[in-house]
Amino acid sequence: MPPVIEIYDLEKRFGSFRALDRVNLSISPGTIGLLGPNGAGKSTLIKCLLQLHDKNGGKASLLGKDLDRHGRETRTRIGYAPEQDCHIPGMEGCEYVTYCAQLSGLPFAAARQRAHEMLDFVGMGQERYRKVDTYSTGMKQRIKIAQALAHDPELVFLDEPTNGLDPKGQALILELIENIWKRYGISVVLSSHLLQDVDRICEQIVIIAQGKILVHDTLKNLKAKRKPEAEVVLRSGADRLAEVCSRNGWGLEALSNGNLKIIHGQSSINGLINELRDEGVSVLEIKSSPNALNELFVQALGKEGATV
Amino acid sequence: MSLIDTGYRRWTGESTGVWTRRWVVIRTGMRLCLRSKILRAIIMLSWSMTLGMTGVFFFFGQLMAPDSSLLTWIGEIGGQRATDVINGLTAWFMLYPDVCVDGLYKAVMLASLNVYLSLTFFAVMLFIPKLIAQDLSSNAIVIYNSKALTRLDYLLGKFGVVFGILMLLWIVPTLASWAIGNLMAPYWSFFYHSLPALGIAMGVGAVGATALSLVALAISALAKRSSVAVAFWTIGWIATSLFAQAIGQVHDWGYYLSPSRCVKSLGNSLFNLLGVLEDARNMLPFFNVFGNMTNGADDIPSEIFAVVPVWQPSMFLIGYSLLALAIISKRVRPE
Repeated sequence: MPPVIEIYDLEKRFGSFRALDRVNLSISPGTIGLLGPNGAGKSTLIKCLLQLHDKNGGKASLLGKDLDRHGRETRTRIGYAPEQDCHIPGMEGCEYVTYCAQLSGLPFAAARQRAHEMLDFVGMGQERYRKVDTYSTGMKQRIKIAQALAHDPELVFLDEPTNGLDPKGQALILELIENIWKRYGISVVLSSHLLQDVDRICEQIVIIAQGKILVHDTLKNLKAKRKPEAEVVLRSGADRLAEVCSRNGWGLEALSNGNLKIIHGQSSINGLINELRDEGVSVLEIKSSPNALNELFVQALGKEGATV
Repeated sequence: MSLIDTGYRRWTGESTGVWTRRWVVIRTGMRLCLRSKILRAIIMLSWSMTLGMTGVFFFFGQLMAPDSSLLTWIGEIGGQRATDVINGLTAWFMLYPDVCVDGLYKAVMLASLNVYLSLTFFAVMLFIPKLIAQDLSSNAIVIYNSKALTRLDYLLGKFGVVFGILMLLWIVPTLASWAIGNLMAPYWSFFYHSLPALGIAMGVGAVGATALSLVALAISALAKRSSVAVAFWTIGWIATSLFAQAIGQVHDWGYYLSPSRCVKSLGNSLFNLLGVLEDARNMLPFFNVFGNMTNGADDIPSEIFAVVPVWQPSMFLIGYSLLALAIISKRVRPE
């Protein structure tokens, strides 16, 4: 499939500060997790792609269209839910989403119909007839996603979409984002500092720091590059576990939460489970690579400056 | 089944063009502004002036109507003196319809211009925060720019909102009163004799509304809080008017330090009531009995007779517009 985002030597400076330093990327359709520490350049990258910021150099194209030449028309096919609140004061929820759809090129009747569909889609009920100014943080997040999807885009940028949501709301929004690609084929770029969210729904990972791309690969490939490990919660048999690890040449580390990390290096944890059962090690819980993305992230930042 | 399974349907329709999207910004902006009851009342007040102006045009039209019931009725009520006045006016209108109709329409439209300018001050005060200030404070500007609009599209839309409301307040009533006045006139000659006055009113209205719309947008862009935008507009309008009045006593150009006075001055010069009176004095018999109204009578403000070269207020209005555009382009950025 042709890439949805192509960036060549993209540069953005704020005074002498380089927010984006000759970024090159080619991202294929799917769910893309954009990770990076605060001030890494994630939001700047998205804003440059949406032409909310003027770039200082380089080229970019979205959905195969050069932004310099077709920026406005390309945005009829792009959705964006910014991190901060961005409602229009005095508008009701439904009116706001309808208006946003119209601004993206839908005629009024279609915009109104899709506004209702999207508000249903994000789980908003009668609140849609209240003024957006009166919404809670969770509702504002939902309506931001609704307006980003109202015109049926082919690519959506979601900046911290689960911020301020309760766990139930977070789960609903994540399920929704996951479905946007899996069921409806809309590519999603998810910028988030919540690694577990990205781990759960994203197929591709882009890690950015100091305006440079440190990592860009599929999550599957990235995980495959690491030595597989498991986190074990023991009931009893710590000595026997140490023996098993020693015999198999597996690494064993005690974690700060009291659990044990076993670096077993096998593609599946079935072998580990069998060994532990055979040796009579009593295990309460065993999880395969629970913090893989977190460790990848830390590892990438440790190698800052080097493209993986 | 959870709500998110209720379905997402793809949309396969044809996208609207950029002018439609700009129109959406204008229409929605005007609708939001017109939710204010006070603004609607001001517009109604302005439209009610249409009735007054139409009444004046109708009355003078009747002067040329043979066997006018209205004039007969006035004669019966007012007695011989009223009948004499009506006969005199009728004679003027019958002899020189071009001078009388043109003068009448120009005088009425110039007077209404001053009222419309005052109404503009109050009307804009009510909706100025809704133009740009609220979009900046609520970050809605990011939403606009992330849609299929450029900054220019957004600004054109916002300009259309102010200009549209000023049209409703100012140009629509003028046009309506002219149209109704002519429809009720006894002869078609009223139509072409009054056409120059309408042309000037529309010209001054378009230029004035454009300049004042840009100034309003700039003031709205300068403020991030609604109250500050209102304060800037109110204090700015009053202060520049007073300042212009004070400086204008010493230097002629001082009057142009206020955008609203520039519009008034442009109107005064183009309507040229002094020229209308001169024509009347030269052509209408016995008109001289009214004396020299331009410098003698206390009840007529002599300022409306002041005629200056049109380029002077025009240049200042262009200057204000350019300054406003510079402020807007600097202030209206996504973040």
